[in-house]
Amino acid sequence: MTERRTAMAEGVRRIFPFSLIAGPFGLVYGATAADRGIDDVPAILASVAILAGASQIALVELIDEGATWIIAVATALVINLRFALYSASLSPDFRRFSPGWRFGLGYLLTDQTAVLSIAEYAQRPDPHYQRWFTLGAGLWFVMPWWAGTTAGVLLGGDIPAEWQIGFAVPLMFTALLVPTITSRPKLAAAVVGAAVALATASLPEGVNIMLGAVAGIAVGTVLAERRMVGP
Amino acid sequence: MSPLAQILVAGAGTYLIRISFIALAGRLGEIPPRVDTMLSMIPPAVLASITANSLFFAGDSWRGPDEWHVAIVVVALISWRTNNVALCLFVGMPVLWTLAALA
Repeated sequence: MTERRTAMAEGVRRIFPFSLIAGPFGLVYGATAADRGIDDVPAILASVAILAGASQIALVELIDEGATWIIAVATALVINLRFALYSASLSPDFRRFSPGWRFGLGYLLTDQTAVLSIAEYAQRPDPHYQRWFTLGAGLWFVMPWWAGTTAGVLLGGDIPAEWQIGFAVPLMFTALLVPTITSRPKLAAAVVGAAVALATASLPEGVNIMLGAVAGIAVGTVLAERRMVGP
Repeated sequence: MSPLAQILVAGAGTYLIRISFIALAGRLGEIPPRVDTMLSMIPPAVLASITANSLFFAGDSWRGPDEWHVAIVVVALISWRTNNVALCLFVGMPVLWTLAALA
């Protein structure tokens, strides 16, 4: 019992700074959805059903622009393909969880919760600890996301442009990225991933990110296996 | 298809992507070392791709060098030197605002 509480509290502690940004970012999505003429209930439900900001913004924009549903939904799913990579990364640990935990926690795997869990699992192999850590982090992160979305949809978010709230996206991802670079092959994976994503940026959003990711993973793996570069 | 239906289909699809490999996990045997190495490369490769994309593209257009890029370098250096994710997130926006005010 106390062990469970310790694990959840650690998950909350680690996700806490990210959760502070989830609220304002939810506000941006909610205001965008309202601005694009999406009804309140579907706009808010999207943050529960999809739970991935960039894809939600793309989806409501495409709906507003009158894109066919196949294009709109496919675009959102391509942007979210990266979650399959987190799924692969977590699967060796998740297979020690019961199906209920696996499929329940799977829902909560945002970028933030997934990446913090991957890092924590490498340090703490106990499955009991792991699942409560991810539950704590995951729940703590989605609540401000839902609250921010609801506020943005209902109030309309006139967030002043000079706040540059859009900077929250690269900021959050940089904060997640830097601690993952713990060896030279991983540094190479990051550099190649960024370079390929930019070089292929004329492709639809999401496609270039996946190409960058795959290229980075390939180069990092080859370098790590050759051990030509030290840790 | 109504907006609500599109949202629900996108939600179902996103959930299936999230659980894709997790659902297979029970049927997998021992993880070979090469696969283990590949899995360990996923976070830096994915996160760097997303970060670069969000830093250099505003919608569909290329974003030239500006205070965003300087601010990210500052934040990354702070994170690297201090190992403190919370500090890096808290100072991020104020660093940007300061740079914007100076520009």
